[in-house]
Amino acid sequence: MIQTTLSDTAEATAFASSAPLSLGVELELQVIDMSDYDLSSSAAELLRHLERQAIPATISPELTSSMIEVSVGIFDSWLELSERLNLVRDALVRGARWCNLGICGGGAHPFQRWQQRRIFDHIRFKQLSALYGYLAKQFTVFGQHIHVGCSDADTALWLLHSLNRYIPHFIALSASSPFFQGSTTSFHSSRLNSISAFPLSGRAPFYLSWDDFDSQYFRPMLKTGVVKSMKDFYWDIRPKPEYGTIELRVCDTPLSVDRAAMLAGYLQAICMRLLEERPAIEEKEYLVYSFNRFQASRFGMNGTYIHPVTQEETTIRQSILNTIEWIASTRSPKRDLLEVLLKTDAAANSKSDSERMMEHYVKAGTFEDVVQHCIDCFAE
Amino acid sequence: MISAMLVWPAVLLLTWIAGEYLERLRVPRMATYGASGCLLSLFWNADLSIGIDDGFAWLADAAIGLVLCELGFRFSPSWLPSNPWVIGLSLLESMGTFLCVFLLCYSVGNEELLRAAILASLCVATSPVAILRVTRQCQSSGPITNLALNLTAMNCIVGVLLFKGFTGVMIHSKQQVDWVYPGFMVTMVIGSVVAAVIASILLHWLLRPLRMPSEVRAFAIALCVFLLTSCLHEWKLSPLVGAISFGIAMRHIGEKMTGVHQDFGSLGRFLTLFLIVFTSSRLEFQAIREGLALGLLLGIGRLTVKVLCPWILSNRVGITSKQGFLAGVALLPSSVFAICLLEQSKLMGVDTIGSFPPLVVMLLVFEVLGPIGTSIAITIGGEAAEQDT
Repeated sequence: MIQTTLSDTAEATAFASSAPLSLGVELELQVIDMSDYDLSSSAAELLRHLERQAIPATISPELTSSMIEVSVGIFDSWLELSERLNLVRDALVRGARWCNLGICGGGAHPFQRWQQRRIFDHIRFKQLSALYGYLAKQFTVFGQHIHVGCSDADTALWLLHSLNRYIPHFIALSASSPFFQGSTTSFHSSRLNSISAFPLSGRAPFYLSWDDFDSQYFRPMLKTGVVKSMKDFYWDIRPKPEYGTIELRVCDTPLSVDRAAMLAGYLQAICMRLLEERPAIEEKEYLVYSFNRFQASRFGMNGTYIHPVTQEETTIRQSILNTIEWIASTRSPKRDLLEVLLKTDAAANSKSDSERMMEHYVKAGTFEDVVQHCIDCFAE
Repeated sequence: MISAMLVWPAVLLLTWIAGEYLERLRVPRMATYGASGCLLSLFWNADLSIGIDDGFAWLADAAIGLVLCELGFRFSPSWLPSNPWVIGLSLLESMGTFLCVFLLCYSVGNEELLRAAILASLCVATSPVAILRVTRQCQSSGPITNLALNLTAMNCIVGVLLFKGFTGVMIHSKQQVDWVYPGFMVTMVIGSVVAAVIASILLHWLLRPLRMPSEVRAFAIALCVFLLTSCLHEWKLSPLVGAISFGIAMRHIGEKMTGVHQDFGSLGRFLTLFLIVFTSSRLEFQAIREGLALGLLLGIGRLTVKVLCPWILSNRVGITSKQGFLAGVALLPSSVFAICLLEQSKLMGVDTIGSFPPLVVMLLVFEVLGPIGTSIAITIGGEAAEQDT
């Protein structure tokens, strides 16, 4: 299903219920001009072509006309999700080739210039562009959003804040934006710097009760006119009341759909274990949040990680390995859980997408080669 | 009498300055350069190429070679198997243009069959210089630009093949040469392509260990194109087919088109300026009086076919009717490529254009108005970079 109409009305804040731990994934993808490997303003043409194909996904436009967003539905298992993502990927690649376009992941295009981007012709995007000026075009960055279903609103908020200590894991595991606007950034995920420029980015305010969140924060914010809906918050994790989910938004879109499915599975596994153990959560855990987030974004797996509770210092890689061990000690280890832990362990111990892109750049010498590499990785 | 050697640098400088001023009024530089060459031809009676003819012709060949190499880089042959309708569209618009102009020349212009065919083959190609430089100037990106670039690459190849084919037949019939004509054509095309492929592999092999930055690689590519086009010229093969094949081959073996390759920096900008002013100045302006009516008719015929074909097949190739129409408008520039072909044919002893004024009129019109059409099409299609940022 191709979605070309977007709701921009103020939404109700009632939290819908959804199957606990169900998974949904949205991938923002780059639309590449195959003649020069720059971004192409051809999202509308690609969407029009894909509309005629029977693709089991919702494909919609994004803020600028060089981006599309793919959403593949709701799944109980990350393995089913992976299967679907592969199916959709094949259809997307076929469609893009038909239009002489490339399609790929990666958190940021290596050498595109924001000045050349065009806002997609839709009223909400035009409004955002009018509000944010050049920031809107600079927001041509590509992320993976992972939804996890929650049984009720309070559980959603508790889970949202409990995940704070794992945010650096997802940044490091998905990092794929070492280049930005034609420069090497020395960051593994430079995309997050673009998001940080927005006033409503960062972490969600600390409320563990949905009623408190709704009455003391969300509704007053609606009244001020600063926001019209939950969509106007660019938090690292935000509740999505209409779906009954929480949405993790810190991941760069990985270069392959297999990595995207693995990230979803890893998040599901952490949530499962958290719900099983129900550890207490306090706001002071956020003291090291920005530091850890920066370390992951700047140094990837090798970044320093300070445990929010014990203040113990380690690397992000080691923290992931510790977490895998903790998840594996669950009372009910299932096959797909063990598989995702194995995959995450392998990912933590091997080169990230970002490191591969940097290596490829050193080897091949041009950003265009890096884009070709990203296209190949996505199509494989 | 002022020496041609002094006139040319002055004309190039003044043309460039005029181009920059008019660019502020959104007039494509290519249109200004073309107009400047036409004015030079109109007001300067002395032969501006006295004593420097060969050198200038070589420079023009090198310049068009560089542009075709860039077009080859940007051409995506891998698109064609994925979307065969693009091949169909390309053949339709190329052969449609050929047939339309051929019929007009033959029936209305009373030309001989063979001459009508040669003249028609000159109108098939879109000017690669205008397309590449105008899209670069507009920083355009999108389906219209994509289709226009790829159709230009293909109609340039078809145009060269038709032109070489018919001029070959003419030479054959006039001179009673002893070689077998179809064999010569095949040898010419295959020879040019093989030479280009070998050159690209050698260059890639030589450059790879040096790990040079893009701008240095671009310079090396430019030098290689100059050598290749000169060799092919010398060997009586096709420098134009060779140059475009070189670009395609370079891309295929892994060389990427970086921002630096796009227009080849100062060297490329100088050669583009020279190429357009030089080729425009080769047109004899006096022909306007004689061939105005038929020339405009030819122009209308070419315009109609170029615009109608992409418009009719737009939905098949995956764009809207409006985009198809605009892609057709973007294909209008023509003359530089045609004049380069003519200059080469003169060296082969065939001067086809001198005695057919309507074609001169048509080329003059598209020299100036073609790039403006391309620019307008890209802007209306929403593919030019937004100016409000």
